[in-house]
Amino acid sequence: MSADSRAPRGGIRSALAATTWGDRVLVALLLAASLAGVALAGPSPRATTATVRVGGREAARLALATDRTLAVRGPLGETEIVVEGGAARVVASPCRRKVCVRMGRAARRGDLLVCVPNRVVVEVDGSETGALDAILR
Amino acid sequence: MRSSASARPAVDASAAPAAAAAALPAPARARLSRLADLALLVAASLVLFVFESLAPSPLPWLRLGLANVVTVAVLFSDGVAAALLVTLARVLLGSLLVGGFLSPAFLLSISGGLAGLLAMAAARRLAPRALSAVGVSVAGSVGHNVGQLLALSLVFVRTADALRLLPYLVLSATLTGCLTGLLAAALIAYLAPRRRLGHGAVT
Repeated sequence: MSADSRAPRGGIRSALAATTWGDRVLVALLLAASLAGVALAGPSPRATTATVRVGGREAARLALATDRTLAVRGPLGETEIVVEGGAARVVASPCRRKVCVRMGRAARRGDLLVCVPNRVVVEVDGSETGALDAILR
Repeated sequence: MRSSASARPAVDASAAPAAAAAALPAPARARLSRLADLALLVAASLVLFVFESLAPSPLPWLRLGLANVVTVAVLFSDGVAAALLVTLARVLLGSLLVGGFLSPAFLLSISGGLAGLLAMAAARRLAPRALSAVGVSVAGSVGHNVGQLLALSLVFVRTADALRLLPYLVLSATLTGCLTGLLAAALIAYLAPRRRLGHGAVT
């Protein structure tokens, strides 16, 4: 390694200096597009029902106005869902990383709670709204 | 490698590896050196991948994509095929180390990795002069997120509502892509002169 002391030092500062106008245009365009997307989407309206699906199959449909607790069985075990104060959340799950629990509350139309390992999807006011029909590829 | 077997001089199998490599003809030595470099870079991206999967994150869906630093560097120094090799090796070995080989999360991981690489190769091809490692990395980061979201909405969620996340993902991917791109540029600048000297990345 000592033989390489004549190699030029890289470092973040020279990397920053090596950026091109193309980099800056690309970053500016992406930032503008994504910020416009965030602004256009705006806050979604409050949802009224939550649809619980396990492995793509509908397991339950809950009115968000009524507080209640529901346990659904997935491949790993029972996922516990609580409806409280107009929002749904996952309070207990048999999965390892608990991403679904940390996703918090779903109250706005289109909000999703997903537990990929246990195949559980909670969607509030999802499919019947068709809110995102404009996005096609 | 096999085609060079006949041209290779007899090497004493008991000789030290370095001496054995020195006895090889120059083209074979260069291939060997490149293979060793790529293996080391796969190992480096695996370390970054495992570190990142263990490190706590303020938002579950927010990731820096540190392993992509290596992919960008390999794409610049060795081309698309080598970058594809490194990406596939990292996704496969990473899932074996962190867990989830062939699980649904693995499918997301591999679709994100391939979509990111596709976006970076396209950015390199379409704008070879205009984009530095930072621009290419940003393209890869955004491509990774878009590919994952498409796979998610096609395979798991079965609803276009997952695409509502798109602007937020593009926003975060642009910022994290800038950071990993700067790291990749630094890595490229570090590796290039050392690899031109004909020995491996860390030798």
